[in-house]
Amino acid sequence: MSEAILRLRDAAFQYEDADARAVDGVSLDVAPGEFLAILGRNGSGKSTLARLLNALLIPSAGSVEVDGIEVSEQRAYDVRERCGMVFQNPDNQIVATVVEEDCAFGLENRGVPSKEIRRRVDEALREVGMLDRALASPSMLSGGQKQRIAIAGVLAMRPKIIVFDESTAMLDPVGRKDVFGLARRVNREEGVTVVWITHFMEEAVQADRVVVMDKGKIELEGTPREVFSNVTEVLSLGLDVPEMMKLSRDLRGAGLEIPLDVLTVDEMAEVLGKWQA
Amino acid sequence: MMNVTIGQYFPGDSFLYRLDPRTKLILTLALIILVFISKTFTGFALVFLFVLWCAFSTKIGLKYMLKGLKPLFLIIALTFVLNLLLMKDGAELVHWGILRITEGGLRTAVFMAVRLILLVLTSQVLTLTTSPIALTDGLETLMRPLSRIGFPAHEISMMMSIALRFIPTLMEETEKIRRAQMARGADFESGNLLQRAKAMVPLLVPLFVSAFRRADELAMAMEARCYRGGEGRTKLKQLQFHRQDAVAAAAVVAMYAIMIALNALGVF
Amino acid sequence: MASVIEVRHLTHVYMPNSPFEAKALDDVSLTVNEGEFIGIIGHTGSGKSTLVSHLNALEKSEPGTVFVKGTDLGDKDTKLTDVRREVGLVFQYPEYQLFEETVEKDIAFGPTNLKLDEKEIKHRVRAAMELVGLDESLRDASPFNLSGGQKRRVAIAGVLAMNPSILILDEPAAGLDPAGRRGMLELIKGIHQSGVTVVMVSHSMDDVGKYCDRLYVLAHGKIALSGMPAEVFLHGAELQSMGLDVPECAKLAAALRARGFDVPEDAYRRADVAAAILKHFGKGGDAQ
Repeated sequence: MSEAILRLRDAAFQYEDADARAVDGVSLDVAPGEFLAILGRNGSGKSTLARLLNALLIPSAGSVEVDGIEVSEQRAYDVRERCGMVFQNPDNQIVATVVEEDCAFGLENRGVPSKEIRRRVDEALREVGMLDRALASPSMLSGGQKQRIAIAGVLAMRPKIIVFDESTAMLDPVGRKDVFGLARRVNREEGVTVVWITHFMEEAVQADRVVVMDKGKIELEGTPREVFSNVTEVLSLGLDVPEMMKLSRDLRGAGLEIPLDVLTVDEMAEVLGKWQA
Repeated sequence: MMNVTIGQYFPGDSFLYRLDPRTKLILTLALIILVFISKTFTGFALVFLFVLWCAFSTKIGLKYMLKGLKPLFLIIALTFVLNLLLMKDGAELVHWGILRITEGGLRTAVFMAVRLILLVLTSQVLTLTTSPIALTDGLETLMRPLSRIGFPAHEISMMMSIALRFIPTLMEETEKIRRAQMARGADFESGNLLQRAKAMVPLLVPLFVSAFRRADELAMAMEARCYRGGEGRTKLKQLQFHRQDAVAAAAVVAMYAIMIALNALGVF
Repeated sequence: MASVIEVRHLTHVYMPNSPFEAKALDDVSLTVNEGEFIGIIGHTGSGKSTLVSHLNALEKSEPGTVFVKGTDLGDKDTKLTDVRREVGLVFQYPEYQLFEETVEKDIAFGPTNLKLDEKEIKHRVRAAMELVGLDESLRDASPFNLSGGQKRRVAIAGVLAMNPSILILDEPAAGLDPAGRRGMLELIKGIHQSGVTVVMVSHSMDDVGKYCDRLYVLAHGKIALSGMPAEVFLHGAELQSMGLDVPECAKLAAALRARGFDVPEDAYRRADVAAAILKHFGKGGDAQ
């Protein structure tokens, strides 16, 4: 594995009025170009972790390094430029009344010259397939389209990493697939490292690696196959596992020796089909 | 699904629309002053001709523009009546009990009413042909020199544009909450004033709670996108003066020249 | 079975005669029978939110009629409070409607609007809290200090306290984490078992497949499919073209049938599919 682009060492954070740490000693390396999914029930600390990666919060103990820069008050803007963030509520992260103006917001804040902003905004809007809506008002767009605009705004900054903090939680299945697909494409085609925080295990199974958090700590880590085959444990952490994994657990319980790590319908049909033959 | 028109912006494309918002702001101010310094009806006719030209060159139409006078009708009528009754000058026209209307009074009354109407119409040309966002942009740029003496020009314009951005969102939200409370048997329509005001509590509290939550999240999202105030900020669209701005300015200067001449000549 | 909701040829046009004109509902007819658990599936823009508003008389039914327990909601003489007493409506993200200082007061809002006496209100609040699984001790807590899942339970209790015989929920599990989702759906199942007719609007085929007796699939304002879950799930390709999905186990059942397995057409629940597979391999039907 090449040099990690995100490097956390015993990172911790405690909110002022809380009696426990929201993130409690997390150590994690993320490789450049990786698609990492973070799962965990509400209050498990995953959103706090996301905010540490973007210097919205500064670790109270341990360290967080983003592309070689240690997250601190002083370097906050350098960190944010390298690590963009897309939030959950599509409405509450759009600043401007015109799509392209919103897309330009980050670049304007960084003092990029107008001509360069124009070029990058158009490029980003084309990338997310919203160039034809550049002059539209965000209030006329669907939730999924609003999230595309939010992604374009981040892409225009040309970050190396994008953190998606439950960015599909408020969308319907069509919008969800759409936004997830876009994140995957940006990851594959542009080589942007993605940290994808979600409740939906059907998204997590498509990640390169899955981290499960609980009570501010990393509880499970590995490929989706490895993590989800711990059916009982994952369920007890308040999460879901793919239906096929539950099925193989049931079948094994009844004496049918199915492999534990069957993830998809096609795989299951394949396995059972072979048995029949 | 609510369509809210703020500042009465009337989307379109024409000479007036293409003017730089700063030009429009300054020239509107100049026209308002012009209306004030005019001493003759001929001068008013000149300004009215300009309003007519705006109404037709933009396809907005005079009828639509006159609609904007509606909310101000009472004020205009009041100004007219007060001037009519209180100004006593020149020949007597009507004498009825303690009521006395004089020629001078009538002239002043009509004069003041026309002046008010023209004021509204000229400023409407600005709001009808300039989108709220262009307006805030223009205001910010014009006010920028003031930020040297501590005037929060950028902050004010940012606040205005965020407000514009969230008005439709909050309208939609109000409607959702209203329905939810109606489903719980809330009644927003009947009762006396006090009861109705009380009935608003289940609507307003959730709305405020939600507005604060949104503000919180928006602030976080803005920070994540490197926002740190107006310093060192650039703009996607740099405002730029073009030839048409010079043409418009020249036209207004010409109107001033004619107006001063009319005043000096003392035409009707 | 007596029908409690009867929708006939309902059409709803938004902003008629304007450039924004849009048909939210187009000749929709549906029936809900007493004691049923009905699922309505469709995504944003399918018209489902408009439909549920009609069931609560929050929209006027023009072209078309809506009957609730035989009462025509379009009739001028129909008292809206009577309709809303009968039909409880829980909107999406209902926690955003909370406004009172305490949980108890918030839940009491509905019954108070029904002008019930204080003793009855107290009794209903307690019963509703129990039904949604909120601890008595939370009665005097501020609803704004609760967790997301608890807030939603308070909001649902606020509707249940009006003692509706029909409960309509729009996306009751939206935005919750998986454990919260499961808890919420089990809660609704419990409410249904207590004798309330339930209509649940959802995006999730898994959820409606697991809990509902009968489904209506709404697409572009029209009822595209309806029937028992097993019947609906047989239209996999059609559902997918509407941007909807079929539960994983229904997909597996179809794939296995294509491979010559004997999986009955009404098997879409995990237990049924597992049983069919075990039977196929001669392991008997002893799967849980």
